[in-house]
Amino acid sequence: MKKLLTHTLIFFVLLSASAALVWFMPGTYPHDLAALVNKREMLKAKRHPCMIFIGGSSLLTLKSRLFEKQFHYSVANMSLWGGLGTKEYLEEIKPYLHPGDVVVVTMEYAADIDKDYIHFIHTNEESKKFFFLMSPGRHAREYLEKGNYFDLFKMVMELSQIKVTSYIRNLVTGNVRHLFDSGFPNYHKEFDENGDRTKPFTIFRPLNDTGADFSYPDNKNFLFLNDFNEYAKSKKVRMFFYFSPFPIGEYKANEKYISAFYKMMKRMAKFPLLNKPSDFMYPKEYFADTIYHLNQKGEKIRSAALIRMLEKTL
Amino acid sequence: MLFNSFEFLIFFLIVLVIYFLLPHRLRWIWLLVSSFFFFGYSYYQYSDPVHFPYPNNVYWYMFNAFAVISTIVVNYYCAIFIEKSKSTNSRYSKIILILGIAYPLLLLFLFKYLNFFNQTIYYIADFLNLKYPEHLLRLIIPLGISYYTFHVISYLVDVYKGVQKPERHFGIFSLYILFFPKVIAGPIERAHRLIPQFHEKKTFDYEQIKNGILLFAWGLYKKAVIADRAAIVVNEVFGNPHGYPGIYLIIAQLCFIFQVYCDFSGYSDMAIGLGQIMGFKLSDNFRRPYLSPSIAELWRRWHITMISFFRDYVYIPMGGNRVAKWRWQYNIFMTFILSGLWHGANWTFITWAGLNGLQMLISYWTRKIRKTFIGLAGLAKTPRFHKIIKIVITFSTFWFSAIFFRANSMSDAFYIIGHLFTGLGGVIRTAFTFNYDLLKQYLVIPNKTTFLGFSKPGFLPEMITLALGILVLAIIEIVQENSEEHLRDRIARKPWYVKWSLYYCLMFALVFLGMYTNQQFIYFRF
Repeated sequence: MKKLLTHTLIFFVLLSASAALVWFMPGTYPHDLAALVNKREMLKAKRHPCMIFIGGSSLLTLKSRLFEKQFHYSVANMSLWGGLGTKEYLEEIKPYLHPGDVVVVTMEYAADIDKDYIHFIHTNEESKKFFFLMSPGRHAREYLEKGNYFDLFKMVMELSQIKVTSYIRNLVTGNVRHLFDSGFPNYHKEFDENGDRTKPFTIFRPLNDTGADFSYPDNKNFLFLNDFNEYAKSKKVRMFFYFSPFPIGEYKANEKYISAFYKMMKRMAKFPLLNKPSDFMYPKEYFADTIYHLNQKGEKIRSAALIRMLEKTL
Repeated sequence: MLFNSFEFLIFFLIVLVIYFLLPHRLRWIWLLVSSFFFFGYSYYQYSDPVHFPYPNNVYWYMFNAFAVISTIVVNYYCAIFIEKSKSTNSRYSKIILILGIAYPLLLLFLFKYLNFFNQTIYYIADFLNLKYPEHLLRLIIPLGISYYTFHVISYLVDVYKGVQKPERHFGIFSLYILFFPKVIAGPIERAHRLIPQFHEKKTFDYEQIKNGILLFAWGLYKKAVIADRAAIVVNEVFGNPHGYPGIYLIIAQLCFIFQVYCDFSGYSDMAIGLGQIMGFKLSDNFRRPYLSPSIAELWRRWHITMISFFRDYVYIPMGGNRVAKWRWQYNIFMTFILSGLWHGANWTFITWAGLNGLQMLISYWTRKIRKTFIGLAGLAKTPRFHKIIKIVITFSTFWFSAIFFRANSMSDAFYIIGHLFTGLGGVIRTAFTFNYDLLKQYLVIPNKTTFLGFSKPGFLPEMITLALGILVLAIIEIVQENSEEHLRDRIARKPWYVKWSLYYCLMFALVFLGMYTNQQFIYFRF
C-alpha cells in the first residue's frame, strides 16, 4: 500500500512539474484565436497616444497605416473575430490604456441583433480559452475567487495540450527555429505590425451569409459599452463607435431591425457614434467571401470614409 | 459513465478503497451496489437527458431496469430448474433451456430490432404514399442488452451441457451479469471463468494493481490519443462524404480503421485493467488483429469473446466443419451474417459482415491458385516478406469492407466506394511534379472554415500527433507480436530509469495529448 501511494505521489509530482514547465515555456498555439496573444504584445509595445480598433474579422483588412499617417497616432488593430465578444475584448485592453488614447469600437450586426449568434458568443468555450491566455493571472484569480478550481485546471490543461501538439509539429517538420515563438504560429506572416491582415480575403461567390438571422435588439446587450466609456473617461481615453459595413441587399431585407438597432444606440449610447448604418452600405461587389468581409476595393472606401468621420471628431 | 471521464475516476477510486477495506464476505454486496449505480448512471447519460429530459425518460429507465432485472431473475431460476430436471432425467430441461434463452432474445429483438422493422414499414408506407406514425414506436435500446443477453445464453447452455453448475447465490449471479467493468461492452465472460472469482478472497497485491493500472493507461492511450482524435476526421468526412474528394475519403476510412480498433480494444484493455486492479482476471478481447496474415486469423484476434461465443453457440451447433463442404461454407457465411445483425439491424452492418464471410470463403476457394502463385513468385523462399504481403492484403480487405461498417447508409457507402479514387490521379501527378499551387487545387475544400474537422492551423499538429500515436501503437504491437512474453513484464525487468521513463512517457501522452471530449465508445451502441 505504502509503495503504491509513494509511486502515485511521485507520478503526480512529475506530471505537475511537467504541466508547469509546459505552461511557462514559450511556445505557439496552433489556433486562429491565439493571435490574441500577439495582438496583446503589439498593443503593449505601441507608443502612446494610440488609436485602438476593436471589432470582428470585418475590421481585419483595415488600412491602419492611413490612420497613422493622418492622425499621428500609433495604431493597434486588435480585431480578430466577431464571435469573441466585444465586452470581453474591452476588458482585456483596459490595463493597456493610457491618457490620450482613442478606442474605436465596431460590432458586426450578427453580434448585435442575431439572437443565436449572441448566445453563441456568450457560451463559446474557445473564446474563453484564448481570452484566458491574454491575461492568465487575472483570469486565474477570477476562477479561484469563484471557486471554479476544476474549470481552471481544465483550461490550463487544454491550453497546454494545444501547445504540446505545436511542439510536436515543429519538431517533426524540423521547424526548430520557431519552436519557442509565442501566440499564433504564423502571426508575422499573416498580420502586419499594426495587426492588419497582410493578405486580402479570398473572393468567393455566393457570399457566405450565416449570421444574418436578425431580430429586434435588446439594450441589455450593449450596456457594457457605456460602462467601458465611463472607465475610458476616467483614464482620459476617448471612445467611438461605428456601424460596420453591410451589403445593400441584406440591409434592405433587414432594414427594420438595423434601424431599430441604430435608434436604440442613438438613445442609449453615452459615446459618439461615428456613422449611421446606411453610410456603410455597399454593393456586393465590394465584399470578398462573406457579408461581413470587404474586398480590397471595399476596404479602400471604408478606411477612407472612417478617416473622414474621425477627422470631424478628433 | 465513460471510463475516460473524470467522474469515473472519482467513482472507481471510491469503489476501490471501500472494496479493499471491506471484509471478503461483504465485498460482493459493495460490488453489486456499485455496478447497479454505474449501470443506472451510464444509462441516464446514454439516453440523452438533454434532449429527452425527465419525465419523458422515466419510462425508459423503468424499461431498462426491468429488462436487466427480469433477465437476471428468469435465468437464475431457469438454470436451477435445468439442473433439477436433469438430475431427475426430466424431459423439461430442454424446454426450460429454450424458454430461458428465448426470454432475453425476445427482449433483444424487441428493443434492438423493432426500430429496424418500424423504420422499414415507414419506408414502405412512404413509398406507397401512406401515412405511418413511425415516431410512436421509437425505442431506446437498453444499455448493454446485447452483452448481458450473451452472458445469460452462454451460462444457460453451459448449465444444460453440465459444464457449469448453476450459481445458487442470487447476489453473485447478479454480479456476474452486472459487474461494472464489463457490463456495457464486454468482454463477454463465461460463467465458469468469472463466477468462481467472486467467491475467491482477493488480497491487496501491488504488482497486480500496478499491472492493472498500466493496462488501463494503455487502453486509455488508445482511446484518448488515437481513437478520439481520429474520430474528428471520421465524423466530419462520413457526415458529408459528398463534400470530399477521393483522397480524403481514403484518409477518413484509414482513420476509421484505427479509430474502431483503438476505441474498442482500448475499452477492453481498460475493462480488463480495472478488473485486474480489483483482483479479477477478465478475458482478452483483442490480440493485434491488424497483424493477421489472413482474414480467418484476423477474426480469431478481433473481439475474441464475441467471436468465440458465436463459434460455440451458433457455428458449432449448426454443425461447424463436421458437415458436408457446402453446409460448412453456409455455416461460416451465416455465422458472419448473424454477427453483422448483432451489431445492428442495418444493411450496412449486414453487408460488412457478409463481405467478411465472403472473404473467408474466397480465401478457401482460391487456396490452390494462391499456393501455385506463391511458388511461381518465389515468395515461399522469403517467408517474412510473404507474411508482410499477406498482412497488407488482409488489412486492405478489412479496410475496404469497413466502409460499410462506418457509412451512415448504404447509399453513402456506395458513393464512397465509387469516389475513392476521384481526383487521386491529379493529386499524384502534381505531388510528383512538386507543383504545389496546382496540388492545392485538388486538396483545398472551398469555403470551409475547418479542415477535416480541425481548425485550419490545428489540422497539421493534430494529424502529426495522430500519426505518431499510431506509429507508437504499431511499434509496440509488432514488438509484442514477436514475443511470447507480455511487454509490460519485459519492461518491468529493465533498470528503474528505463522503466520509469517509459511509464512517464505514457502518462505524459495521456495528460498532454489525450482528447477528453466525452466521445462515446463505438461499441456502447451495440
